[in-house]
Amino acid sequence: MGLKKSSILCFAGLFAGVLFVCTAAAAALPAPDNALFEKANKLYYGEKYAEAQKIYSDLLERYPSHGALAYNLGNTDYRLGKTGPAILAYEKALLQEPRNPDILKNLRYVQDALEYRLEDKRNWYLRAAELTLQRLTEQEVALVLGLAYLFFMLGLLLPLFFRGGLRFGSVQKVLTVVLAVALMLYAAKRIEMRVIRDAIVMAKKADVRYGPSEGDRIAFKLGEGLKVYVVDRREGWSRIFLTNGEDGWIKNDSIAEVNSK
Amino acid sequence: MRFKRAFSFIFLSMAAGLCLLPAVCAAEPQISIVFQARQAAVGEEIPLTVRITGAQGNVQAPRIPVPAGVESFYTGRSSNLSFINGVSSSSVEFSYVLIGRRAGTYDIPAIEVSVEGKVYRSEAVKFEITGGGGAGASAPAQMPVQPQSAAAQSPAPIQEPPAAYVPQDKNIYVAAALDKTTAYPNEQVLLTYSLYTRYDTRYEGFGEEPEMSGFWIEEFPPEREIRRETVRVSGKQYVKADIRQIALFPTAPAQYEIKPGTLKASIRQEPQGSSVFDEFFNDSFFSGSGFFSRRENRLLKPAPLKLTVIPFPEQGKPANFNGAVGNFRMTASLDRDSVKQNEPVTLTLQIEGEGNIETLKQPGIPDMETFKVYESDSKADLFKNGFVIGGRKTFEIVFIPLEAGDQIIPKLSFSFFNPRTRQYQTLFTPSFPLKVEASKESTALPKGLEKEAAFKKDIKKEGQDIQYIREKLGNETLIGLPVRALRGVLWADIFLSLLLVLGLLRARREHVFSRDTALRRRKLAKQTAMARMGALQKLARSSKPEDVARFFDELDKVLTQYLSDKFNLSAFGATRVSLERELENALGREHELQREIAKLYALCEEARYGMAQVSPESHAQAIETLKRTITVFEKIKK
Repeated sequence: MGLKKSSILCFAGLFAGVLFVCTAAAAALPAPDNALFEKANKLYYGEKYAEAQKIYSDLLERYPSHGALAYNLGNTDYRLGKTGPAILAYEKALLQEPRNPDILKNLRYVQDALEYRLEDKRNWYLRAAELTLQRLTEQEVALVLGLAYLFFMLGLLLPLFFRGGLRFGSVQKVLTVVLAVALMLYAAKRIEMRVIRDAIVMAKKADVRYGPSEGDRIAFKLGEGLKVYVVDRREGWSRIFLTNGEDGWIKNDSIAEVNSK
Repeated sequence: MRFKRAFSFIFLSMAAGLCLLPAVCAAEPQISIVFQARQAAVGEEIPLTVRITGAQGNVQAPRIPVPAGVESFYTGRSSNLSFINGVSSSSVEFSYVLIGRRAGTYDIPAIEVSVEGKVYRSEAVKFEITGGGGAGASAPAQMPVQPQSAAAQSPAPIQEPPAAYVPQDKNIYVAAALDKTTAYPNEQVLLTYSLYTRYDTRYEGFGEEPEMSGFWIEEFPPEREIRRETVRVSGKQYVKADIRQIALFPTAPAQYEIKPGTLKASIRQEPQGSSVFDEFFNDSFFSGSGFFSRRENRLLKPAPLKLTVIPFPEQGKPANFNGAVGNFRMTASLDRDSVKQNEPVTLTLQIEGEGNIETLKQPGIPDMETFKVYESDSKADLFKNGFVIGGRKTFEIVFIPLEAGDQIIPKLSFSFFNPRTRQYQTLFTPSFPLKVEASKESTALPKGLEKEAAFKKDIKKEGQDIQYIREKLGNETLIGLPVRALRGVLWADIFLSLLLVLGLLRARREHVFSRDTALRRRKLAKQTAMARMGALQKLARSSKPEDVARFFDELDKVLTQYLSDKFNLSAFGATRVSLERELENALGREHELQREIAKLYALCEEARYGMAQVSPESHAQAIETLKRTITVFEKIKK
């Protein structure tokens, strides 16, 4: 089969048009009130941290996609001595800007000052996978998958229209592998964001029990600011895992999920 | 040609890699172990040196993983930086003494050295301890005896074991004691292990190493003849022997609990009567007699100890105080008093005395406009004077005068805290006048050492805090870019997916058509006819007389082509008769459309040959008939 050149050009034009319209038509992120943001910055500069914290917190609630708000909120929380909320805010900021060096530095700095320490006993590949996934936003991973799919489709369509049939040569094989890897990456990111949800211990001291009730025996205690992974939710209780392999049930009001809306 | 180019590329890459290999290797620190002798008798000393070359930054003394039956003692370090033929090299040497307690061949596994957070390993080494060998065979080797000052005499431990401490076997126990309960950071505290026994006893070394985190440790080698005395405890007579001494230097003010570990000893079961006591121990204590007799091993655990380390007094603390504690004296010398501009002159600074010599830091050098300063070399020699740690630390500082004329290397000061007087003391070097002769020679630096690297001071971090807040929200366009790009890509993906579906359907149809030409003709008949419909319409609108004949000629062809396709007849071979027959089969006899088609063919023929007058309405009627024919035949399913 072979299509006329004009048809191909027509398709290409249509494609470019759709792409352009979609890109241009996509709604821009709602912009926070800049005056309010600057007011909070001035309050922070004047060491009025409690007032600044309130404004940052309100703004973040309305505009959760702005990493700067979460980052500044983390700083004010830290200045107010609230370690857990500070770490939570930095983790939220990292969801939006996962490679921002300032956020990473501050998070590490606050974590270093924690009373409790958790040894990471996971395999190196799990640690590496988590590190890789945490350095990419969900949108970026989706974009990688979208582009991989796009190239995969082009790899199929071009021979179909120019050579009159489907081909599965080396180019198509490479594109299939790239698509499979991108798909796995996306699936892993979805699992990380939706199934195994990061959470921060907000209570000064929290009991982790063997079951989801006060009657269950205490397995261990956690301190404020530690990161845990929530794998199950019940009424009032969450099942958590730690990087050292321990697990148990903790009260919901003792933790806050990083990706909560 | 392409192969040649690829080969050249690979070859060049390999050559570049080989060229870079020595540079890469040279950058890695090398660790070597130097034995003065690989063989010694039981109790004899084997001096051992761990040499680390090419290490940058501070290197901690490595721990020697000695096997059971061998003891190791750290005796000092020296560091060296040399420039030979313009190439700089640095090395640090740590000296140890090994003493074998039992005959045999021993392996020292790889020694681990941490350099800037990375661990490097030496090769494993072997040595042999022989059973024979004079006095050393039955007694530990004796360390070189230094003349002892009054302060260096073995101090009497003042911290006795706690009253609550009850040994399991009252006939043998070990007491660990500190010579003081309160100390300053970096002040020497002597930890003494005393064995109290009423048995025939042989000391075998540490079972479990003591836990002394927060201390810098220097161990004293055991004496050849361990002093012992007869003491009376709770009415019983014991032989008491100070079997081990360790100098501790606390690193920071705090309350410390020292877990002294456990010591191993072997005993002969029955306790000795006091009448034969002294004689018995003279023969057997730490000696080889009775070696083959039946003995029992004991692990002796002394009680933990407490030490309070108080902070340095703030009153009178000099600004340049760097944590040095002890009693020191300082000397300095300059290798020459006249020099050419940009030529180096070396100031040798020696600090000597009692205290933790290892941790002494070089006196600060004031900023000088007229000199470049480079810390070249340092060397520490450790002395153990009785039970006091001391030594000598030598610093070499290179000054390079930048301006000609009479220059002065200013006084350098060194402050330390003397725990005996509880006061700070500051020592000064003299200032050194230096005649600098003008020269246009540039500063001669060793190869591989950048000028900036040689003379720039290290940036020291004064403190830590979080990074400042962000003062701008960021570019909205950039923040939303991934989301917008994602949406665009998603739409593009949807579009391409639909395109692929269409393409596949077309491909499928083409495949079917390629196997059934009749079907292809039938299915594409309308498409083919409609494609020519435009030309027909154009001719119909034309007012030229010759276009009338062309219109009907074209109409005849379109109709014949359409019907031939539908009936799978050859367009060129189809006759009016064969078409009428097929029409009759398809529409039935006497169908109105059949008559209209017949009329249309007649009209076409007449018009082509100019045998009839054709009205303009005839064009429209003819096209209408053609369209109706197509519509009717497209509805007929076959």
